[in-house]
Amino acid sequence: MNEYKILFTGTMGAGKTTAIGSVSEAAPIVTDVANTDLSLGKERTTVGLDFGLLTLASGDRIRLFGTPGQQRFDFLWKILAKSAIGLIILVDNSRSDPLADLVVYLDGFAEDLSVLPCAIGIGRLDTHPVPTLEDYIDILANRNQLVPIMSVDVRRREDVVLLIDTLLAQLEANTFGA
Amino acid sequence: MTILRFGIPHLSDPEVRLVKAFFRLYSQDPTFRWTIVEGPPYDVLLVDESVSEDVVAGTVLTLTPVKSELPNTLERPLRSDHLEAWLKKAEYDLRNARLQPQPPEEQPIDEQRIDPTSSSHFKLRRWPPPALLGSNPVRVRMATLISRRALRLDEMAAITEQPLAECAAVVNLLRGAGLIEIQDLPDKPMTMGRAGGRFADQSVKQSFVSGVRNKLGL
Repeated sequence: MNEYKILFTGTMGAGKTTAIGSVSEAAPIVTDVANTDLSLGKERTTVGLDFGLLTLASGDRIRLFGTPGQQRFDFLWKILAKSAIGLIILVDNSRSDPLADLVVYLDGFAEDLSVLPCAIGIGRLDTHPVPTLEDYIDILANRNQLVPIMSVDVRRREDVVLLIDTLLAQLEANTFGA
Repeated sequence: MTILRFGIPHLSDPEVRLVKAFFRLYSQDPTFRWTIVEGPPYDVLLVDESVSEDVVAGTVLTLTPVKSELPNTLERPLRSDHLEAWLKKAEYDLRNARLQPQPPEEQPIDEQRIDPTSSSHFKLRRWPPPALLGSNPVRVRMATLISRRALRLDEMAAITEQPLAECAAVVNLLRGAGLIEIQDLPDKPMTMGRAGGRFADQSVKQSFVSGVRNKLGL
């Protein structure tokens, strides 16, 4: 039996815990505490590592880790990324500068992104349509990064599954081709 | 849905930002067919009247400092409603033009279409706008594959287990929006690449991917 790891990262409130709960076969183990950052309208936030689980028919297990959102924990991001098979970055479009938020995570995982499959989900685009997905695509293009990016509602299982499927497709692309 | 290609390579940065902002507003309308593209071919090219170099486009729309009676001109400052109205008329004209029978020697668009038997490798240049892929998981998967690596249509078909014609349709859709780079690489049979990363064996990786998809109901 092998164990694999998929990381969910993003700012506080981006929906990492919710996304993991949408696909995990068991309720995710949550390490939330009361949020003391009064600038965010959020009562609780993750300070440790949330994780969910997927057990495959082969017996292999995939652990779904939600990283702490705060940038001060970026030393943990690098450690977690080392043995991961994929990274999902969640962005909350209702925040004051979500494009800058994305850049924080692209920079934070920059060492790994040349090989680590990655997908980006932008949440709350329905209620906060600006910046648009095209703006995010422009940011990636300006950095010469080509990463699947889509609008998501992390409460919808199919949206989270589609993000995971793009990680799998990147694994497949690395298996075949020129 | 036919995507119409709009080019703004000769405009100043402020006007580029303005036009992009207009297009974001227009794209809220699901019938809006236009997309801004980075390079030719263009269906329409928006230029300043001072641009004198040869421009290659189906139609050239010129920005002028004052209102002009000439066709295909818009006065500055560019207004959203004026540009939108002009685009709707241009779309109508282009659609009608494409419906006209063409002599055989004037059908480059068909000749440019990627045939399902093509042996070229295709690589995505930039992630597509949401209007092109929607939330269609097969299209998203194909775009993802060629975002990572240049692939032939038969390789895409084998990996996604989709018909060659469907792969060609997606590549043509992306190519129509200027998002595909064609690479003529040496023709080799599809083989599994070298192992690497978290998986010691590529067959283990494939088995893992299939197992995850089964688990997720894909």
